[in-house]
Formats: sequence, C-alpha cells, structure tokens
Amino acid sequence: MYDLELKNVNVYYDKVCALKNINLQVKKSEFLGIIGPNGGGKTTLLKLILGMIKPSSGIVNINENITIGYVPQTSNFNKHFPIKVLDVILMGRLDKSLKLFHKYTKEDVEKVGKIMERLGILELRDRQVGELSGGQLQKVLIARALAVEPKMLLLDEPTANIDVQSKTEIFEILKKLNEQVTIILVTHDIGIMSSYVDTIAFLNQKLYYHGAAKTDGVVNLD
Amino acid sequence: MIKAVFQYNFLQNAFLSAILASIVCGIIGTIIMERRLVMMSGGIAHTSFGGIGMGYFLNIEPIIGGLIFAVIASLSIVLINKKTRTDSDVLIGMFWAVGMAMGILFIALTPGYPPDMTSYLFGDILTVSMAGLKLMVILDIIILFVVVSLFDYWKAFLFDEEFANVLGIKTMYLEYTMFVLIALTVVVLIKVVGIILVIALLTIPPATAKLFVYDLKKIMIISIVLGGLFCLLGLVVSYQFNIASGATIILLSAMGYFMAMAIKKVINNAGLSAKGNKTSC
Repeated sequence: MYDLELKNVNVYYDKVCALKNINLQVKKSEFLGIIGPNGGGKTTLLKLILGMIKPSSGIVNINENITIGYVPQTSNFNKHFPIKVLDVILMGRLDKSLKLFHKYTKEDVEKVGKIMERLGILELRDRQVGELSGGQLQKVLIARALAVEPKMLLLDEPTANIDVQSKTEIFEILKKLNEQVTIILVTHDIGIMSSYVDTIAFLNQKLYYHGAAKTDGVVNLD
Repeated sequence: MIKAVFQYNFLQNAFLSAILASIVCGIIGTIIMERRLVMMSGGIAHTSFGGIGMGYFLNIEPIIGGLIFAVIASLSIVLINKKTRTDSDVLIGMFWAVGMAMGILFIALTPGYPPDMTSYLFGDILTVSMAGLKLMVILDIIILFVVVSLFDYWKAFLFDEEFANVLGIKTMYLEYTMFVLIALTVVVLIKVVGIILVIALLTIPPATAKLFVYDLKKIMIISIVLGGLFCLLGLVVSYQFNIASGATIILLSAMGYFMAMAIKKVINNAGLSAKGNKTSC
C-alpha cells in the first residue's frame, strides 16, 4: 500500500502538455526529492497531488487517511500583508468548513507553540511576516504546514533565496520530521538535497528515475 | 451647528450616514487595499451609475438600481476574468465606461425634466433621505456580520488564498462574497462622497492606519475611526462654509494622510536618535 500513487497521468493546459505519462509511487516515510528545470512541471505535479488541478487522463491515488501539509514557495504571497507569525501558523489549524465566529482554541495555540519550539522559531511569534529573513519565513511556512498535523509534507522550492546555513538547518529539520512524515520536495537546488533524500527523480514533462540515495527506490517509470 | 443638528432632520441623517459610511469604509477599504482592488472598486462604483439612471427611467429608487448594477458588475468582472482570461484591468475599464454610458442614456430617455445627477457623482451628505439611511443601516449590518463572523477565514484567504484552498476551505465562495461586499460598500458610499470620489474614501483611511499599525484587525478599527473623523469634520466644514461635502471630505482625508506621514517621520527620527544616544553611551 502506497501513500501516493500516480498511474499514467497526463496534464494538459489547453493544448500544452505539462506532465506526460507520469508514474510515481511513494511509500510511507519516504523522502522523495524531485528536481527539474523551471517550466518542467514541478509545480503542476504538486498541484496535482494537492488536488488543485485534475489530471487530463490517468489516476491519482492518495491514501484516504493521509492529511497533506503544504509549504508553498515564499514568493507566492504578499509579504507586506499585516499579519504576525503566530497568526500565520494558526492558519494551519483552520477547519475546512466555515464556522461563524470561529476562534482558535487554547489547544490550537498550545499545539502551534510546540511546533514553533521544535523549529526554533518561538521567539518570532509576534513578528510581522514582512520582517522575516528568507530562512525564517521558510521555517514559519513549514510550521504552518505542520499545524495541519500532516502525514505527508509537500514542499515547493524550500531553499530558494536563502543562505547556505539556513538551507542546512531546513534540511536537518526535514530529516527529523521524516521520521514521522512522508516528504515530497520539489527543487532545482540539487547540491544539498542529494545527501538527505531517499530517492531522487528528475522531472521535465516526463519523470525520470535517478536512483535511490539510501534505500531501495520506489519510483517506477514507464 | 450643534444646535442645528438637534433641530434639523437632514443634519441628523447626515451625521448618521457619515458614521455608517466610515464603518464599511474601514473594513472593506482595508480588504481592498490588501487585495489591490482599488481600480476594481472604482469600476464597480462607476458601473452603478448605469443602475442609478435605470432607477430614474423605471421610476424606482435610483440607489436600488445602483445596488443591482454594482453587484452584477462586480460578479461579472470576476466571472469573465476567470472564464476568458481577459485581464481584469481591461474588463474594469469596459464596465466603468459602459456603466456611465448607460446611465447617461437612461437619464436622456427618462421623460420629463432631467434629474440632477451631481449628488450621485460627487455625493451630497446633506440630502440623505430616511429611506437612504435605512438602506445604509441594512447594508452596514450585512457587511459587518459577514466580515466579523468569518474573520479568521477572511484573514487566511486574504493572506494566502492558495493555502486556504489546500486546507479545503471553499475560497471561491469567499472571493465572490468579497466582491458582493465591495459592491454593497460602494452603494453605501455613493450618497456620502459620490461615485467619482468613492475610491479615495476607501483607500485613504486604511493607508493612513497602515502607517502606524500592522495588524489587520487594528488597521480596520483605526480606519473606521479615521474615516469617521474625516467624514464628520468634512460635514461640519462643508456646512459652515456652504461648500460641496464630498469634495471637502476627500480633501480633508488627503490632508490627514499627509499629516500622518509627517508625524510618522517625526516619530521615526525621534526613535532613531534615541537609539543613537543609547549606542553612544
């Protein structure tokens, strides 16, 4: 039983092919790194797994009991938005059904506090998002994804625009998290990644298997 | 003037409508600023002119016509933008001009002496009728309820729509609701500052508030207070000197913004020199 399985998946935007005949299997607690050039379909693949887009053909199977935590690219949103770190991370505790006069519970705040402590960002809790460095913001976004209490973590370019020391810190964090959660990470930064992940795949429309870094590879290709 | 407020109904209406206007301005204006929907709001406001003209033509309350047009315009712009990938900028421009053109056409077709449209274009807070005031109260209650009761969701949606979507929140509904709320807000403001001046009252109070605080809720609250201050002061000044109320309110707001900028600079400089002193010790 895999946590995630893609069978013969094709994705077209109008007539442009973004993903072609993708076959991918990810098992529990795997750490999968996907590399590839810009425009190679990395973000499309993540959106497909997140259910934000539907495949043009093929099957996407996700284990029903799995909650996915998503860490978007830091360039995706308005950094000048007036919101403090604690409120950003609390977002992860929101329920999908709208509740009138919703208030975060004490339990929510405690859980988020523990996550922040684990990631070493507790002292940032009252800071504005706009004041954070790239590495700090990345950790905040990881914390927000963890607040969902996911079994699988999806990260989109987590090491873009941050310094080498922060990169190492983030991969150390991910390595620890990997003991409990499955991680799929998309990046074009191959250097540091290769020493942390179990499996590497190369994506440029098609998915190519690059081999297992530590354990048996489970990425199968056509 | 205070005596006059107790004596004259129209002044009481004016005061109440100034307060009602600033409440929605503070809340929706902040959302508009953060979502960069200023031109969108301008477009919605101008499209509503067509509805006001239609109101006169069909002999119904013009502002109700404006309300219908504003809601239809805001939803259409979003829908067409999604379906056809036409830039919302282009659509806003089209709706903006078409709305105005329809308004002028309806007025021309209306039998009898043409009504004076300046109070809709530039606002006249002294002519708010009892019916108009009642409508404003209803719209204010709707806007306040929708924003306050779902505040945490609004915050998540405004900050990072994609993540909210991944959480499973139906952000599409929030988005459409937001555009309806903007349309309602525009209608509340038409009688106070007029179609042409609406965007100033939507942007100046939140922009001023954001100079000093960095929290969504606080920006909204301070915007309401500032908007109320600008509107009431504008009302008093325009009444005393017998000048147009809408224009007075906008000019006072702009003055308020520039004063706030100067004050912020002084505070920052004081803060810097205080820090400088500390390090030199």
